[in-house]
Amino acid sequence: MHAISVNDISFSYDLRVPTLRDVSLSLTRGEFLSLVGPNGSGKTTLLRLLDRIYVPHRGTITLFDRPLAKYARAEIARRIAFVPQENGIIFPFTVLEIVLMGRSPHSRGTVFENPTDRAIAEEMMTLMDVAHLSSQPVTSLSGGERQRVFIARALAQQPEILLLDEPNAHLDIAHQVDVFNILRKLHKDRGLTVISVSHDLNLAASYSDRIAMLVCGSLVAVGTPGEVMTEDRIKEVFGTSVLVDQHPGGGTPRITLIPSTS
Amino acid sequence: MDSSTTQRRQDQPSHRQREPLTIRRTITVCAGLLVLLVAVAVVALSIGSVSIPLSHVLGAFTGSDTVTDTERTIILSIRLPRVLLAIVVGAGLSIAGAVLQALLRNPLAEPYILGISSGGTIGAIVAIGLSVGAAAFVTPLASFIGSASVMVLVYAIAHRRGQLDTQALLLGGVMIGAFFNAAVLLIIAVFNQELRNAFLWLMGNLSTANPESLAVVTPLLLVASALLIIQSRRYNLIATGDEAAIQLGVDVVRTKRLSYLLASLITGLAVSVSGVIGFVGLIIPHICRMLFGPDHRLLLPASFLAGASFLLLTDLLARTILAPTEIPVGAVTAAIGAPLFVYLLRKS
Repeated sequence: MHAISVNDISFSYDLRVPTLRDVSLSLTRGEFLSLVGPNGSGKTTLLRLLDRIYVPHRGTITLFDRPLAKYARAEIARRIAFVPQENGIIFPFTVLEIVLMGRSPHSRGTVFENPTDRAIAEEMMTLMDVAHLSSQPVTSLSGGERQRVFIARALAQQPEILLLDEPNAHLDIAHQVDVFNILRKLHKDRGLTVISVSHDLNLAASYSDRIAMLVCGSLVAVGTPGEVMTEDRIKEVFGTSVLVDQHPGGGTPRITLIPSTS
Repeated sequence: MDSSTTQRRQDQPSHRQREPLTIRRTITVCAGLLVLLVAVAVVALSIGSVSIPLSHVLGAFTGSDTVTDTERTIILSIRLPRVLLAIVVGAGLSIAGAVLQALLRNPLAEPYILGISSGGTIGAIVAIGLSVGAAAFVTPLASFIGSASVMVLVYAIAHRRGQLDTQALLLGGVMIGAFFNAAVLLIIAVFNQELRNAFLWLMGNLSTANPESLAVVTPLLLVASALLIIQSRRYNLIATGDEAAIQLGVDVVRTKRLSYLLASLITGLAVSVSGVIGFVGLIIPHICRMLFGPDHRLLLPASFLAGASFLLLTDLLARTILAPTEIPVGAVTAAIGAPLFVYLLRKS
């Protein structure tokens, strides 16, 4: 059974320049996929379409073998969680208040959270290493702490599919590894399907089952890290020379940037 | 050392050990604010050109013998409509402000700053100028149409490339307000005779309170406010971002449309009976957020109740401070609100 299946979708924001063209992609349940590609290649847009924040102009998306268009909004929220890149939050909600919001798709008409919601929120805060910030206003946190709070909120939704838009953007290296380790653990233990947009090719290569590479709205390669991350392809797609060898600790591809000498 | 710690605690009392909101806390706070409102209302009924003891104020409602007929008339026929009007208008403007701030994710948003109140004024004045104001509901309706039109207009001005531009929003609102105020002055000049009272609209005033308009405005305003309050959990999610709210299962487009409509309705209703009373929708949600936290499940009902008390007190001030001369209550709220606006602007 496919968790998500994308069939020939196209989308554009202003009807002139297509943002995505004829994209097809399927994920099995419990898969960890990274979306990579240059800026403006449509990675974020694809995540938005997968969560039905926008609707594709052509093509279809199915979620657990049922058309995404047929789902009620709240039902999507119970199965898919999406962590956007930026959270322009200005009101001083506390960390716990934010994470508890992740329970709202499960509230089924009740207005206040119950003890189960609270326990789940606390579990996810501990997992994301923000439990000690519980009563801090989220507006006073650093970018990386905030990022972990919003991942904790997404996990509190107890989704089957987690979409992350550059989850490592604001994180220091220790927390990058922590967050990805936790995501891998969740995906191994609980069968969580993860789709993560990443600019860090090494992190993507070390943690993903498969990598999908987008260029100008089209998928140019989908496969295991070893298949996708080749020197020639990265040079072609990103326009920069890199050295690709094997990671001594794993066997996954290791990408080294070659600074220009001129 | 000691004093600086204390200072910090006073600055952010809600941040230190604020627990997530429970139904119990919501009810407790709202009950407290309701008691406060009743107390303020009783005081407001007793103070005026003739001072009436508090016991007589209560006696006027229970039909006690110690209350003279004159006192009863003053309280029930003169002061009570005005007190009720202050309650309804203050509550409505505050809840509309709190909702607009959540939807626009901007603590500076409120009906007056966004020009929505001025839109209501022009609607009301056109209705009266065309002498169709005979039926009690026509002026509020025209006011609502004016408010809603400005809401749409300001939104269109500030909406660029799928993003809301905060500066364009605030400046656009202020400019539309200035433009409509000029238009009101023009209309007054043209229809000089019929619109002697129109000046009152430019700087809010509660002295025109009468039972007929109260009977039209009050139920509509209460229903609209209740409809906003029942959506408060959604406003929490929207306050953290549109995409975030959608992904948490909120139909953001529909929720926003309905909420803008209700906020415009409330503003239009308030303006039709009291003119433009600015900054209430800014001051009250700000204070309530400081005291009770940003959770809209408490913030909305608290703003509603606190806003009622606030406008009662400011109106009391407006009619007593220079007695027997009355100053427009809008001047008092602006005197408090404008500095707060500047402070919030500097902070953001």
